[in-house]
Amino acid sequence: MAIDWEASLRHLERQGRLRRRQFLRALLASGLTVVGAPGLIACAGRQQATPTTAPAGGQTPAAASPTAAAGGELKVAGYDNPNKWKGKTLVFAGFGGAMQDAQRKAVLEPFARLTGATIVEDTTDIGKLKAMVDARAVEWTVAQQGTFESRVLGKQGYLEPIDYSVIDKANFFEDVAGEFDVAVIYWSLILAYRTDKFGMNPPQGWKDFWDVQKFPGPRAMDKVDGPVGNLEFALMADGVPKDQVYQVLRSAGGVERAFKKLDEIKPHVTVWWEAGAQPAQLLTDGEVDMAQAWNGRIDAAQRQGAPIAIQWNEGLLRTDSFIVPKGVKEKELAMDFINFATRPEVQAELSKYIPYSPTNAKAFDLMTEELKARLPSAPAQKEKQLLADASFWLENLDRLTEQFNDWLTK
Amino acid sequence: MTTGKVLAERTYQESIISRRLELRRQLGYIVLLLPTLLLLLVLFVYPIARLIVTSVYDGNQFTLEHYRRIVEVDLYLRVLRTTFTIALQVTLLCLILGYPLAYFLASVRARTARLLMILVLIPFWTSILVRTYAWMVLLQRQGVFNRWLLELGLIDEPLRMMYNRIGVLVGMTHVLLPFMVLPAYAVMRGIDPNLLRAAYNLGASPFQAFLRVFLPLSLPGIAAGSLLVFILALGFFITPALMGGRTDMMIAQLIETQIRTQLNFPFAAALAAVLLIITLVIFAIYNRLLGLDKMFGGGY
Repeated sequence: MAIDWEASLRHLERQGRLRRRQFLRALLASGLTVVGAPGLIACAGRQQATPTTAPAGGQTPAAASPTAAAGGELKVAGYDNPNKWKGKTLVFAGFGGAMQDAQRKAVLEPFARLTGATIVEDTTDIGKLKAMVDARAVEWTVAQQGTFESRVLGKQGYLEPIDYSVIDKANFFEDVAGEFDVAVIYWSLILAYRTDKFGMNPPQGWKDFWDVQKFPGPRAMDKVDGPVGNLEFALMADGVPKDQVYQVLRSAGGVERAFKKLDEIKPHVTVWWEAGAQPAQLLTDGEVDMAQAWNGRIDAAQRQGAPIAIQWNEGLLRTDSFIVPKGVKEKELAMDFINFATRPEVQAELSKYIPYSPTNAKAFDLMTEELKARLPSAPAQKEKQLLADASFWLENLDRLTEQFNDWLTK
Repeated sequence: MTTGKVLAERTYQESIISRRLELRRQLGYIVLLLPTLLLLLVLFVYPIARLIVTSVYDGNQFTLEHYRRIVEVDLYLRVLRTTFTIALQVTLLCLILGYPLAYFLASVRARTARLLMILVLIPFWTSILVRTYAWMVLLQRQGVFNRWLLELGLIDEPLRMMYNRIGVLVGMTHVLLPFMVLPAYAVMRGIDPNLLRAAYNLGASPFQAFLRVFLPLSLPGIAAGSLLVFILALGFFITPALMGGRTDMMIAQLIETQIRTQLNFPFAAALAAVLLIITLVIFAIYNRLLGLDKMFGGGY
């Protein structure tokens, strides 16, 4: 069932960006390939991944942070009744891997301790969620998904509306409080480069990434996110200020302008990467000198001593969301859990374990400067970047993915 | 009663008994096959039927829109073409590498062959990530092979052996080789060595004996292996995605994107159905040309 493993694998990898792929790959290796019309199984309902982690090559010790242990048990304002949800069970479906390990320590265990709820963990999967809702047998209380995917699911009627009388959105960043989803972490698609190559004169943004005269050397670009990111970056390379990118993309000829700019860089891209581990590896090995990359991966490589730096300028900020499947039994519990997960104390705690970044602005008041410097939504980094426009992509993802793949394979 | 009558009566009785026995035997087969048939029905026929149904609906509306899109947008036919080309190339490579290997394994002692078989199977058991990174170490611009070749002065510039079609073929052949070797080996083991001796005895040279006796007898193994490799190769995408260039996109990748980000299950189902149909057509042609059914029935 090659396709099936692979589909889940890709999906989870993209969402999770850290280590998830390896564990699924291990599954893939163990169960690789039974004949059959490929793709069949992928459509007929995707396999669910068992929440085990299997180490494989190249994983990132992102969860290794000694500061996390210090300071005793986490206290969260408003959560002081240890019997609040006693006898209730919350099933959380996360991305698995390093991300869920971090969530277990910073979110799930504290929630269980502070409210008395029992927590069961599973691994998230869009196909499974759809099947559950269609069959009216919803097992999950709260699941995680990319924000784009969450909004599509919401639009297709698979999610419960979020109850903002329970969830305090006062200090959320913009576009965090969705109708059917609440963004819980930021991650970022950024420009990363080798410091030994460009350390004296680092590339300042996508204009420099496109400038093969001033910044010679092989480059790696992201194909797993398809048009998302690539079109924005192309326009910025073409001189569009970051706050006007989506305006131009929405205007007539804007998309064509982006593709025309992409034509310029096409011959200079030696690798189009598919897995989040690739750009960090390619940069570390010196196979490429500049790459688009996910910040978490580069952070991990940096901590292993690789001579790589992040240019936050003109990075693309994206989010993952918590969602509640339609027809869930414990709706109030679900909302309370999402509220808990977006409290400043909890989000600051999570960032200690994994370099994904709070969606509640107040969380930064509880952090060291050293940690803030590594997080994509910390004020200093956030103002340099562009926030991915979920509503633009919700409308255009299908069409532009087709156009992008067509452009890519020509 | 005449002797003739008695004999006729007995024959009649016997024929009834034998017919009953025959019926019973057939019933026995059916009962024995029932679990498998049910399993196939539930796990194979039903999902395929669901898939086809999914592909012709948009909401609750019957539509052929998804199929129209596949035919009208360049991308999908181009990627399908790439998919079949890569699958064919991989099958040929597996055949070229796998046949001599299976021949060798079949000619050594069974115990030795079993040990060597483990070597063939190792890539199959290894995580795709580990395999891909291993190839990266060997094949990339500053990889082991390029460094050797540069040091030996055989090349001046590093060769590009990854992130293009070469990378895809190397990676996929590595994984799929066992599927060629195993059936070929099984068939070759079953060939009676006395047949070759008889050929020598009748004056055939070793090459003639191979060409006219061994090769035809080993054909069922090759046919089965090639078909397995080809069909498995059609569904690959992680290997081409990781080791290939931008043009080496395979159809499974597009199907997966439809599910993962577009959440467009009907269109994904239509793409999968098209792949299935083309595969079946190819299988039918293959069967017509090579007479697979006969081959599997006889030969060994």
